[in-house]
Amino acid sequence: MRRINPAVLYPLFLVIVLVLVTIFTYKEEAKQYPPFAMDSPSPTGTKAIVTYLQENLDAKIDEELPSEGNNLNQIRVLIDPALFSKIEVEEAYLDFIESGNTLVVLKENPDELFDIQSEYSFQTLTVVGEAEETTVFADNEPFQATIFSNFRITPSPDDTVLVEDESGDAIAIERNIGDGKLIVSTEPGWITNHFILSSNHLELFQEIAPLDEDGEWVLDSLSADHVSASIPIYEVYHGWVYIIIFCGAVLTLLFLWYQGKRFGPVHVRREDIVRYSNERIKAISIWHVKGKHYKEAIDKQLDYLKEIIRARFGVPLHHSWQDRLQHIQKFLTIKNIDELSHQISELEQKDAVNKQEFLAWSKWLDEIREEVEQK
Amino acid sequence: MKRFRRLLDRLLFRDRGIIPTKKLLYLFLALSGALFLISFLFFSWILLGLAIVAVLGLTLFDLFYSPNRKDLEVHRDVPDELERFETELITITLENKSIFPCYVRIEDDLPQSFQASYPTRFLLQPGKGELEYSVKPSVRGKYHPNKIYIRYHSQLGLWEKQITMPYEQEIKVIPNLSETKRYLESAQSFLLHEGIKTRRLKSGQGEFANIRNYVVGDDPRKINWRQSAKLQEVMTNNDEPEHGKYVTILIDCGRLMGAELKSGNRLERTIEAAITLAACALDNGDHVSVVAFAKDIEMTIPAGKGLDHLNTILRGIYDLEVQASESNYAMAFQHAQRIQTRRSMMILFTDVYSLTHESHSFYFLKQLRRKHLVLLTGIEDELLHRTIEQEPTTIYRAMQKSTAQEQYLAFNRMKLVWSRQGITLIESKEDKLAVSTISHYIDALNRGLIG
Repeated sequence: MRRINPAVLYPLFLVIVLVLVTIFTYKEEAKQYPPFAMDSPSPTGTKAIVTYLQENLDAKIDEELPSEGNNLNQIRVLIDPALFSKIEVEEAYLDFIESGNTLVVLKENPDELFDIQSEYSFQTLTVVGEAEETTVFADNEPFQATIFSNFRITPSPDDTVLVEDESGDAIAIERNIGDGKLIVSTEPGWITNHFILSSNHLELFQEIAPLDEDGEWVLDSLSADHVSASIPIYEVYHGWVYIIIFCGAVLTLLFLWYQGKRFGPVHVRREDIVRYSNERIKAISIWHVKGKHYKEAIDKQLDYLKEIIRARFGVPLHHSWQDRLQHIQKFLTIKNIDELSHQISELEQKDAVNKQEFLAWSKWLDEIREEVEQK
Repeated sequence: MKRFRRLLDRLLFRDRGIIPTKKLLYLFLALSGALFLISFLFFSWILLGLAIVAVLGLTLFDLFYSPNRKDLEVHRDVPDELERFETELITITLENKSIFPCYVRIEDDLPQSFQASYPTRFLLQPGKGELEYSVKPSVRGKYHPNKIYIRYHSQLGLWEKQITMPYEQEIKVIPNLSETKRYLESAQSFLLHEGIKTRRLKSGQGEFANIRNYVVGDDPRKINWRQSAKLQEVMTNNDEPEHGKYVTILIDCGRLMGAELKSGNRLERTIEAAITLAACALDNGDHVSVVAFAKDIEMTIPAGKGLDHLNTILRGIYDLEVQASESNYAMAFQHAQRIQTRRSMMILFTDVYSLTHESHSFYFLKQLRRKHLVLLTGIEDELLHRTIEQEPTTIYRAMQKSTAQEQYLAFNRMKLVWSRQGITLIESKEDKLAVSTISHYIDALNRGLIG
C-alpha cells in the first residue's frame, strides 16, 4: 500500500477539525428585521398595530399599487415608505387620493413626498441618546409623547394640523386633495411594538388615523417593504452599461495578463551600478556649502584664473591684478580695467563673503575665464 | 513546501504558464462590441455570461494545436569568445517532436549589456529549426546564462504557452581587440596622429633590422654601398632598437576605475589599452608581464615573449572587475618589484588624480624609479573639466566649480613635482589612451631608456 504523504494529511486533518468545531459551535442568530416591518415582532416592528387593525377593522395587506381612479372608499396606510423612485408610482397614489380615498403616511422625514414640505427642528436637538417624553397637542388637548423625528412639517394654509408640539410646529397634518384626503405624520415611531403602549401614543394614533370613519382598511406593504421597494443593482442601468462594465473587466484582466506575465530574466538596472568620477567633487562642495566657505571658494577661483592667465599669457603669479588684467585687456569685454582690478583686490582683502556676493563673483570670474580661454 | 514555492513562482509571473495573445484581445474586443450593439435591442445576464464563458472557453482549445511542453528541446550555440562592441550571432537550435508547427519567440538569460535583438516570430515546423539572434555585449566578463525562456503559439495564435528551459553555459566577453588589430596591421598608421615614428633612428644605436631605399634625411653614414652597387640604387641600413626589453604593465582595479566614460568605464578602456600595449611590446620582441591589483593583488602574469603570450595575457585579464575598495599602490609596487628583478619599463594604468592625492605612493614610486623606468598613465577626467567650465547658476554649482578648479590646480602642481623627480605622469582622452601610452613606450625605447 502506498504511504500517504504527511504533508498532504496534515492540512486535510486541519480542515476536518475546523469543520467539526464550526458545526458544534454554530448558534442560530436572532433574525434581523428592517425597522417598521409589518411582520416584525421585534421592538422596532409594527406587528402589534397591524394585527390589531387586521383583527378589529378587517384591514388587509396589499402588495400592489392602488388600482387607478376608483372611489373604493379605502383608507390606505403607508408605514415608513421609501421615496418613490418612479413618477408613475407617486401619480398612482395621487390618483388614488383624488378619486376620494384616504392615504395615511407615517414617515420621519416626509419632505418632497406628495409635495409635503418639512424642515429640521432644532428644538429636539437636546441631549444625544434617549428621546425624552414631552407634551404634544392635538385639538388643543395635551398628550404625553416621545418625539423621535427631527423634522417638522411646514403646513400650507389649507392644511389642518392634527398634532403639534410644544412650540406649535406640526407633527401631523391633514390635506384635502381632490375628493380624498392625505394624512401625514412624522412619527411612525409611536406605533412600533415597543412604544405603542407607552405615553399617550395609542391615543395620538387614534387622533391621527381616522379610525372611526367607514371604509376599507388597507396596509400598503409594497411601499413599506424596503427590500422590494429599492431596485436591485443589476436592474438599475441599461443593458449596455453592464456590457461595458463586464466586458471591460474581462478585457482589462486579459490585458494585464498579456502585459504582466514576465518573460525573460530579471534585469538589474544600470543606474544601480554606474559610478561617476565627480562624486568626490560633489560631496566636497556640499560640505563647503554647509560650512559657508564662500571666501575660500572665491580664493580658489581667483587662483585658477591667475593660473590660466599665466599659462596662456605668461603673466607671473605674483603680479598684481592691475598688471594682469591690463595685459589681457584687449580680450576682455569689460573695459573699465582699473575698477575691476580694484574690486578684485578688495575682494581678496575681505575676511568673509556672503552667499549672494559669492554667486555674483563666481559669474563674473567665469566670464573672464571664458574670455581668456577662448583666446 | 517545494510545490508551494513552485506555485508561488508561477503566480509571481515567472517560468511556465499561458498568456493571451494580442489577437485574443482583439477578438474579445470584437465580441464586446457585438454584445454592446445587441444590448440596445435585447439584454440578458445569461446571454452575457454565456457569451463570455463560451468564447473564452472555445479559444482555450487553441492550446491543443501547439506542441506540448515536453515536445520541445533546445540547444544554444555561442562563439567561444565574444568581443566587446562586436556584433555576434548566437544560434538556438529548437527541436519540435510534435506534429504541430508553432511560432516561437525566445529570450535568453543574458544581462542587458548584451543588447540582444531577438526575432519576434519564428516559424518552427515539426523537426529541427535554427533561430539566430544577434548580441552586442558592452561589458566584458564571464557570464553564466542558465535558462532559455521560450514562448510559442499555434498557427491560429490565440493563447501562447511559456516555458523556461534550463540550459547552463559559460559565455566569455573579451575586451575589444580592434585597436590591437589595427596596431598589428600597421603600427605606423595607428600612431599617425601622435607624430612619432615607431622606429626613429639614432646613429650607432640599436641593431640592424633591414635594408631599404635611401631617402633624404637619412644618415649618409648608414648607406649600404654594397647593396647600392648591386641594385643601382642608393640603399641604406635600417636599424631598430634592441629587442628583449622588459615591460611590466600594472593595472589598477580599485574603486575609482569604475567611473563611467562615454563607452564603458575606465577599467574597460584601460584593459583594452593594456592589451594593445602588450601586443605592441610583444611584436617588438620584448617581454611583457602584467599585474592587476586593487586592495590585494588580483592577478599576475609573469613575463613572456612572442605574440603567443598575448593570448595568455588576454585570458588572464578579460574578466577583471572593478573592486569596491581603494587601491593599495604600495603593495602593488612591491609585488611588481618582486616578480620583475631586471630593469624594466613599468607602466601603471590608474586614476592619476587619486594617485597624486596620496603622498606615500610618491615615496614608493621614488624607490621604484631607482631601478625601473616608471610611466603613470590614466584617462583624463572629462567630468572634472566640464565641472570647471560649468556655469555657476546656483550656489552648489558655483561651489562644485571652485572645488573642481582647486583639484585641477593641485593635480597640476603634483604633476610638476613628480616630473621633476623623473616620474612621468600622462593623462589622455579616453580614446587616445592606447596611442599615447604606446608612443611614450616607443619614445623610451628609441631613446634607449629601458636599459
